Amino acid sequence: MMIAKVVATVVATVKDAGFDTKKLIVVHAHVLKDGQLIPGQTVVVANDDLGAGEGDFVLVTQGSSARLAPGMKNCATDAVVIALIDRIDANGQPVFYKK
Amino acid sequence: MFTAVVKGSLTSTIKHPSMKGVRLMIVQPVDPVAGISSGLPQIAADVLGAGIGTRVLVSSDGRAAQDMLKMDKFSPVRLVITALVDEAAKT
Amino acid sequence: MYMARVMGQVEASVRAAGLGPHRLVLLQPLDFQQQPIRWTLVAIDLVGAANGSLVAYEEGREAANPYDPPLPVDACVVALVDGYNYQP
Repeated sequence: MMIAKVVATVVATVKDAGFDTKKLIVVHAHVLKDGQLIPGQTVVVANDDLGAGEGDFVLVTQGSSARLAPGMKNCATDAVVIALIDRIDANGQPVFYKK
Repeated sequence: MFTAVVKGSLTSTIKHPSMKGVRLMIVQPVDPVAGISSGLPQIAADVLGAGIGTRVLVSSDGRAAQDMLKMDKFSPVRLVITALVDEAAKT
Repeated sequence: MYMARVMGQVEASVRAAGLGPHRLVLLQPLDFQQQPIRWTLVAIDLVGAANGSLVAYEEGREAANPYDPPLPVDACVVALVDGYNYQP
């Protein structure tokens, strides 16, 4: 899964029926490099049922596994938020924690 | 599927039960005709007896792995060596 | 599968219902000269991998297989690496 920061929301009126009532957000991947959590190169749109807000760090499942998340079976999605991150530790040090 | 050259093997005692008794080989993807490396080395399951230096065909389909390794649907294995390549040439 | 080193873990209390309480580990993929490759990622841990250990992880839909019903995950640690021989 990727660690990602919520940067925006997407609104779409015309969409596949499977997307009805589903929230869409834009997330920017973050990666660990030299002991720091830094922005990565990937930005994707993901479905979110957990109520992620802008600035939150989330865990995103991509690919066909995304449809295994609750309520996503009939949704034409390939990226879903599966957790809201409280804290990330690397090399014994916190590199992120939710304020 | 992709062609690869076996570059080594890996041992693991604690692993998912479906991988018990399965050999784990380090495979370096190569261009099938030019023979040059074409990606990052990965780990594939093997039941065909591939050795170091063997050119192999690797499938990245979990269902193929389950069939070849006689694993049930709960196996997470995805890469499996499906053939030992004798020759690949332009026609 | 790729090889990786366990760099740390991710804590998350708000989780999708299907995810369960499984431990989430932060992985740095490595080549067989133990140089970093690809980007770091998060995986569920099937084998009790400690921080700093060498593991093999699987990606994609297959990573969801070990549980019934399958978990909504695209990466899981499937083996602890005892050792390997590699002839580049």
